Amino acid sequence: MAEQPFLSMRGISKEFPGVKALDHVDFQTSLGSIHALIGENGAGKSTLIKILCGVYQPTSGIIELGGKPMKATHPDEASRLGISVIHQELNLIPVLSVAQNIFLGHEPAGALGSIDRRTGRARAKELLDRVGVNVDPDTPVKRLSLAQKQMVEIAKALSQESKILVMDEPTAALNNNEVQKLIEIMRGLSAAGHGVIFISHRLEEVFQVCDTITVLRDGSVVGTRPVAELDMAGVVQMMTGKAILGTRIPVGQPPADRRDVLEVRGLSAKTKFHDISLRVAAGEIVGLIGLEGQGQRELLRGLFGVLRTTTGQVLVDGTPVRLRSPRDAIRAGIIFVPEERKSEGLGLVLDLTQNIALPTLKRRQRLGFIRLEREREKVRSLIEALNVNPPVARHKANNLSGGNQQKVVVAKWIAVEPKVYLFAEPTRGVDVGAKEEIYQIMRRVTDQGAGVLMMSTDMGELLRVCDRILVMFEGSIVKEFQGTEATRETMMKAQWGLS
Amino acid sequence: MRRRGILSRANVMTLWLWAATACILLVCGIISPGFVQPQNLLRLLRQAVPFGFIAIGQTLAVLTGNVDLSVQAVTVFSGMIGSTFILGQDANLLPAFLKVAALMAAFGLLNGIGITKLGINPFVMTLGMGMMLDGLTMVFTGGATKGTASPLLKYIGTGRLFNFLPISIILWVAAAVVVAVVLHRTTFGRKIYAVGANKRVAEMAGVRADGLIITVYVLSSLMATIAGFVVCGYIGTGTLDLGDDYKMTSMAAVIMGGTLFRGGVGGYFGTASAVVTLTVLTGLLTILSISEPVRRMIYGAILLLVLFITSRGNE
Amino acid sequence: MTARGPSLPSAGVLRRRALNHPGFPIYVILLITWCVAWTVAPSFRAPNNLQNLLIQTVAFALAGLAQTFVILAGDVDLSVGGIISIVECALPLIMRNNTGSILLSCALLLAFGTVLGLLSGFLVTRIRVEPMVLTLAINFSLLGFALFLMPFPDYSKVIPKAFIQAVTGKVGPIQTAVFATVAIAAVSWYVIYRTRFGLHLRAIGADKETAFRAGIKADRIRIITHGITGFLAAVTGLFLAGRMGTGDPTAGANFSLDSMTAAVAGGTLFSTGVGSVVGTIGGAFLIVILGNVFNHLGVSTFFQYVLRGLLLVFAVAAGAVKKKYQESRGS
Repeated sequence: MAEQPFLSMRGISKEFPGVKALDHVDFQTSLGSIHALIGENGAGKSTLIKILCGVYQPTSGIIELGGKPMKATHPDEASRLGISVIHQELNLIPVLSVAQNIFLGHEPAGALGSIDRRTGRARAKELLDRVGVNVDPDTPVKRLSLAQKQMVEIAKALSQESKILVMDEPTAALNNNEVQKLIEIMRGLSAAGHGVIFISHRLEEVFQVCDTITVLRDGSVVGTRPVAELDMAGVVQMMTGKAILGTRIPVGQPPADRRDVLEVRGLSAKTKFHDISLRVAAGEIVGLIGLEGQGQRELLRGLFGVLRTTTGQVLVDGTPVRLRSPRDAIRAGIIFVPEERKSEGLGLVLDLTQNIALPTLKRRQRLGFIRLEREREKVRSLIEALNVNPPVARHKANNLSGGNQQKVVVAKWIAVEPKVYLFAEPTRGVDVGAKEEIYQIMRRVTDQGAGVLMMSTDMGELLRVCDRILVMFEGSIVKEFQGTEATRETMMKAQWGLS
Repeated sequence: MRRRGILSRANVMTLWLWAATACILLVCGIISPGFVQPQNLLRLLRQAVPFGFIAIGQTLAVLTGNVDLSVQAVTVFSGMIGSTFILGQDANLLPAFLKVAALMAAFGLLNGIGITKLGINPFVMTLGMGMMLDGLTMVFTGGATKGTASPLLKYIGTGRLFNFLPISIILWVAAAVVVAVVLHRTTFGRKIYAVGANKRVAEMAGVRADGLIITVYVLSSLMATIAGFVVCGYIGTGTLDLGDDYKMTSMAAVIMGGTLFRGGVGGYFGTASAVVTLTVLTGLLTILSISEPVRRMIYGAILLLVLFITSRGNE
Repeated sequence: MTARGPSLPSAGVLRRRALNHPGFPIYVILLITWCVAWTVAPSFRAPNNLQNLLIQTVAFALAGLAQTFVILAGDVDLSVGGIISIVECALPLIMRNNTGSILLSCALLLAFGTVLGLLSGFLVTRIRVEPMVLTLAINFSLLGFALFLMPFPDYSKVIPKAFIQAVTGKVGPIQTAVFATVAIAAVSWYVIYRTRFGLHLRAIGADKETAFRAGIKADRIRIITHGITGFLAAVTGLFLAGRMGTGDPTAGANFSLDSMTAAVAGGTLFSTGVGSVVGTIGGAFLIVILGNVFNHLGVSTFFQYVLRGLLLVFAVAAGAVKKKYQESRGS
């Protein structure tokens, strides 16, 4: 293992309008090292990686590769300079062959602008052997398994003579054998003199294969330690940190008898989540949290009829319901406030009236004609109740701030008077004031008898608002907390699959 | 407050269109004073009526984020086949219309199903179906016009109320009002805008988006059927040559009228204004004795220009 | 382990490659259609009918190839018909009866077609509007220009006999035009499947993002591809002029759609980077055979349009359904 760090990032900061994604990050790694980069969602990992591969430019700070300053403006350039990133969504073209993918953009040239296929095939075979995978270079990529595709990506990185390989959640979708194979390959790369940066949420694997761990939190480096000095609990503690908790939103009067508005029994959806059972009572706000890709988003979609579920039962107010489409869900009394309000929550080019009135058009019509007075009144009252700003019904939804847009989405669903509210990241991209208002709105609807199931990646938010919190890991619910008992530490540990 | 709702976003575009119309009329008046006499203007406007009806269907289609390029074929088919059913008898008029309308509604249904259920690109689907329909028209008529319009139809096509207002224009205005009301006052109209703005959001709000789009295609074909009958009434019989390529000009009118191609924004008032502007422009070009080929090139250039200007909004 | 040179693939691999080739279905359909035609229409079997079929296929094949290039790159070019019309109408106007003029006119028209294609490509990459709409509008203008050049077939403008001979002449039993088409198809195949440009072209059509990350310059390739399309469209126009003996402003109009039919029926799918030159030829041949059969059966010639429209819708529908199926399997 070399002493001199090959890659050196010093004082890297990255600012976007209104948000500081990275704050004076120092990160170094040497050739031959397998270095883990860990942090919860939104900690800044992906921003750091995008800077490394040239998609973003740092607002300040220096990057040095092999002692020389590195400035890449394009992923291809970064690869040639020595850093390749293997993303979770693989950058391969399925219809092309393995060899064609490996050399995409830098094919060996033959006569007359042609490609020297023989050389390409031979070199591809060499690279694939180096990686340790046995695949015919002429195979179309679409015929490979996910694990094999990853190896092709690694070969692709090696074809550019990359010294440092960044692997972003490579093991997320692999089975145990494939994971072990990948670990072997990483060890092989390290032994051959490459540096590997390993991003993963599976702490067991991190501790199995890495020699150094860097923990990121809220855009800053918490610490960089050799693996030998840490244990999993210690890592979790580094990630959690101390944050000042806001005051808890006062809990409404607990209902005399518990009546479940939503009950889920053994719900599964192919590879996304399995055997989910949970209950939400009238007047209750239940939180759902997990690391990226653990099935929580999919669960909410399954409950709204957007995602196909294979087994299990859902009951609303004790009655089993079939949820094959959003129409079914709405009719059953379940509504969904999605995380991407701009693409799934609002019609941006429509005005507030059109947006808010949409799910409930049928209630204010006579012979197909909209009763404009009633609609005006309804929209006005909702805009007022939710404090949408500016309170002009004719404004286009596009012109509102994020927080107000979110309130408009909530408004349209309140008009439906549902029994169950499903929220996905309800306060993402919303300013502080609007956040509080949204929490108040949630309390109000639950006070009136509805139940709320909200998914969030913000632990602080869940701790303030929820009566109970469920943690998902790898498609199952692994832990349930009472709102008053949960702490960041315990929640964090549960999210990482530890108890 | 209510009128503002009907004019909605197309405000600016519409003002430009009417300004352009005024300018063109001014130039026309200078070159040929007789041209801008009310009687002549109304005659000119009467020629816009089939265009106006076709543009209704196109507006609806574009509002939902699609397009209907089979309108030309439907119009021709309706006129040609319709006249063979009418055979100059008033008694045959209604049955003929119902038969043709039923056929064309089925045609629109096929368009809609192919686009929504099979996921076929709307351009290709409607172009291909249009080609088929053109072929069927030729197969059934051999290219020769058979049958004539009945007196009632001719009255609708050429007659005037109080010896002044052409009946067909009244028909068009009535249709335009109905369309405007439907778009802005009914749940159906609301859903059209919703589907056009974001089909996903509309579906997640419980709207049956596919059914809506299919309905729109049926309506578009029906509008083109009406246009075909009006043409038949005007000329006296069916015709293969409508004098213009309405699939292009209707697209141009819709875009010029402020209805954006990605859907969800716009309305019929803008389209209708653009229809008037384009018709008046045709009049000017005719006065200037500009040949049809050059006219087409000019229209093509205008369409490209309009596409360029409105594309500035699409990032 | 040393790499061995290219060895012959086993029979099993060959068979699987053939079955999965995008052009496979069209040839099955072609075979079936041929057999049906042979049994159903006696006059179809006439010995010179095959020649007839081949010469008719040339135009559709060339236009289909033109469209194949752009579809593989992820675009579409509906101005093919317009370019064909313009070239067809301009030829009798500028070509004089001497070798020099013939060659020069051809070169000029080919260049003109290429330039028109490049222009389309430029507009498509700069104006953020669907290529379908844009090229449709361009086509409209081009058709108008063709009409302007020659408002109606003008038999007074004579096309030099030498040119007509060259286009419609024969070498042995096969027409030169057929040979030329085969040669063009072979070159096209080479460009698409053996050159860097062709690979990058298909990469853009399949996945623009990944291609971009690999450093491929998408816009430049798209523009060049449209230029190639314009070139091939011009070739088609030259051929049609030679075959018809005169210019005809309306002859080219339908080729915009027919070129799509040939390409899509031949297995070239929109937005996938998947296509087949051989398949496109097959698609062109199918269009011709179907028309020919119905002709021999005594069906109205107007039925051609119905057929062609039906074929286009079918082909595109099949392509769309196939795509949906593949997507749901999560290839």
